[in-house]
Formats: sequence, structure tokens, C-alpha cells
Amino acid sequence: MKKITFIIAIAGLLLFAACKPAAIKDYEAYSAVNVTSFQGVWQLTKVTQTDEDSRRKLFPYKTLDLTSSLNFTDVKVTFNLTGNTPAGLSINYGAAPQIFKISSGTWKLDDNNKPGILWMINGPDTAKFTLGAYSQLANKKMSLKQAKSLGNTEMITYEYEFSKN
Amino acid sequence: MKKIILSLVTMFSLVMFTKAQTSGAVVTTSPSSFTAEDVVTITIDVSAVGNLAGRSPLYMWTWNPGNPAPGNGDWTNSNEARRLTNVGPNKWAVTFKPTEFYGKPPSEITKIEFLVKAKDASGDLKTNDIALLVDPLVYTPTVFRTFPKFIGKNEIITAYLDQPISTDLVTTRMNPTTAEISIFNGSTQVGTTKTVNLRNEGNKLWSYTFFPPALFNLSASAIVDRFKIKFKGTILDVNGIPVPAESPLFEKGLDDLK
Repeated sequence: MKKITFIIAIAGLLLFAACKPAAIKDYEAYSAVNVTSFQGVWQLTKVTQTDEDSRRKLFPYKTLDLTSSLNFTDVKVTFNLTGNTPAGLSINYGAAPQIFKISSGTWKLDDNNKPGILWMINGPDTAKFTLGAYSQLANKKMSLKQAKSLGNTEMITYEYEFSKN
Repeated sequence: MKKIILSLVTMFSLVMFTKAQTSGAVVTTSPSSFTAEDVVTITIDVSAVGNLAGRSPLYMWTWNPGNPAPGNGDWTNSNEARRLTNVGPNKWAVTFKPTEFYGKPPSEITKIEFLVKAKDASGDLKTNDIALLVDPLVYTPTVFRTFPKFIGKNEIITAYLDQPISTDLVTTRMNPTTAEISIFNGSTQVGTTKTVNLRNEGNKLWSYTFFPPALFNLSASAIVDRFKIKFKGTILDVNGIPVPAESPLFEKGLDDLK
């Protein structure tokens, strides 16, 4: 009887000692999304403006949908690639105002395989955008968020939603 | 008699001259409006203040909502803690959060009053009194407002006229149709005044959305710091005939958003 108890105890200890914490894996981007997902012509479908100061101070009038104003749905942004590298950029504003400062130039991502930030560049004029959900990009929809600050304080954010055929 | 008149004229001239030597300070704040809980930079341009132009250093002397610790010092010997930062020729600035600077709760800070002076202000080496209004921490409806509250020359701006809360009888009764918008750098108008059609948002709320570079054909280097808007329409006269009417002129500062 003592032998059986001893064997069970040893087996239990061995089992316990064999346990190891699972290794924490690196975050992996949604496999369908990378730099090639951006290539093509994107049509602006929605523009939202948020008053970050009002949001912080719990004032009313925090968000305004601007989609129907100023012909924003005319805007088409074309991202070109050379191989798998971001290359030319062109923006056709139609009857909308030139809200991104530039109408042509180049573009780049912070990481071509796990993009999080997108820049539209033309000389000293650069517009920086934070990318929305990957699941949208996989479905040919793209959300770009742009923040405007006074000093270090974010005052306004714009959210631009695009789609492509 | 001639002597008395001459003396009076001389006295009046002296008073006017003395006043002119302390007036003319141009004061700007960033952000353009602020609450007691916001960090604000106050910039004072004393180029046009005869008694202070070209002098250095300069000091802030403030008394409302209180004398902040460690105090203003003496009129002839300002406290070094009140020394302003030189930010350009004849331009001086100070940055603070009003509640921390004055050591008072927001409810007690509705207005900031101060002047700018030399360390020893003897001989009127100072500006006239300067007063800045401080926004309340709670939202206060106003007949004219913009969305967003803080705006810049490169932002999409929506201007609103909220008729029901107007205290001006003409503005309340008017049937608004258009607005006249003009944009300024200080007191200088940039471009021409634009007349635009208003959008009826319902419940006597009227709006217009615009992007200043497009509306005013502004170049990238154009400097503008405020816009003015007047709402126009018609009102019925005693015979029931529509006659032109307009709201007061509203003004809003533009911040340097990046």
C-alpha cells in the first residue's frame, strides 16, 4: 500500500514539474491585410468631426457628421504601389475642398506588414492618419483618423471612411 | 482768461499724452478662449505702448481674481516670479493654468485682470488695465456658436445661429436666409466678405459649414486669427411687408491647430 501511495505521489510531482507556462506569442496582423491592401482607388463615403475638448469637458455637441456637407463624397484617393512598396498618391477632390492639403505626392506606412499609421506626403506638407480596424480593410473598406492639436492637447479629430470596388 | 484756457488745454494734453503712453497693448491668448482649468498662454505686444516699447524685462501685475503667490512684489520692485517671457520684439508671454496660478477654485475665476509693467513702474512705465474673460466650466448655450468650439484656418467650421436663445429682438424675429462671413488677421481683413446661404436645421437653428482656405481662397502661408459673421434675412414691418434685417456681428478667434 505504501508503495502505491509513493508511486502516485512521485507521478503527481512529475506531472506538476512538467507543467510550463505557455509562451506569449508576438501579435500577428490579420493575415489578409498588408501594404497591398491599400492599392487602388478609394472613395470617401463618410466624414465625422469630433470636438475632443467638448468630449473631455462633457459638453454637448461632441460629434458632427459632415458627409452631406461640402461634397465630401466626391473625394477619391488613389494609392499606387511599385512592387510591394508604397509609391505615388493622387487625390481627386471633385467639388469638395482640398481637405488633405495635397492633391498628389507619395504615401507610406509605419509597417508594410502590420500597418498602423499612414502618411500622405508632398514635400513639407504631410498628413498623418491612424488606421482603423483591419477587418474593414479586408472587406475593401478603410477608416483613417486624423487628429488636430493645440500644443500637446488634441482638440479635433476627423474620421474618414473610404471604400473601393 | 487766456492763461486759464492755456493751462486747461495744457493739462488736458498732458492727461491725453500720459494715457496714450500706456495704451495700445495687443493681447492674444492661446487657446483663443479658455476655462479656469485650461492651460493658457497670454501674449502681450507692447509695440504701441509708448512707455514700454523697447524696455526689458517686463512683469505681470495682477489683482483679479487675486494676487497669486508669491505675490506681485512692490510697484517699484516687481517680484521676479512675475517676470514675463520675451517671445519676440516687444512681445511678452506668460503660460499658466488659472486655478493653479491663482490658487483659487474655478467658480472664483470668471475674469483675469492684469497689467504689464517695468520692474520699477514709477513714471507710468506700464500698460493700461487688461481684462480677459474666463469661460465657465459648464456648457453655456449662446445664440452664436461654432462646431467645433476650437477652430483653425485649416479646419472644417460649422457656424450656428440659435434663434430661440437670442436676447436681440430682431435676431429672434428674423427669417434668416444668408450670412456674411469675413476673415481677419488682427484688424486687417483678408480677402473679401462672402455671402453664403444658410441651412435650416429645424427648431430655428441655422447653420453654415465652410472650409476657410476654399471659401476665402487662402494661400498656405496666409495668416488669419479670427472670423466675423453676420446673419441676414427679413422681418415683417408694421404693414406686414418683409424688410431686410440682420443679427449683431459675431466674432470668433481661430487657433493655430496642427
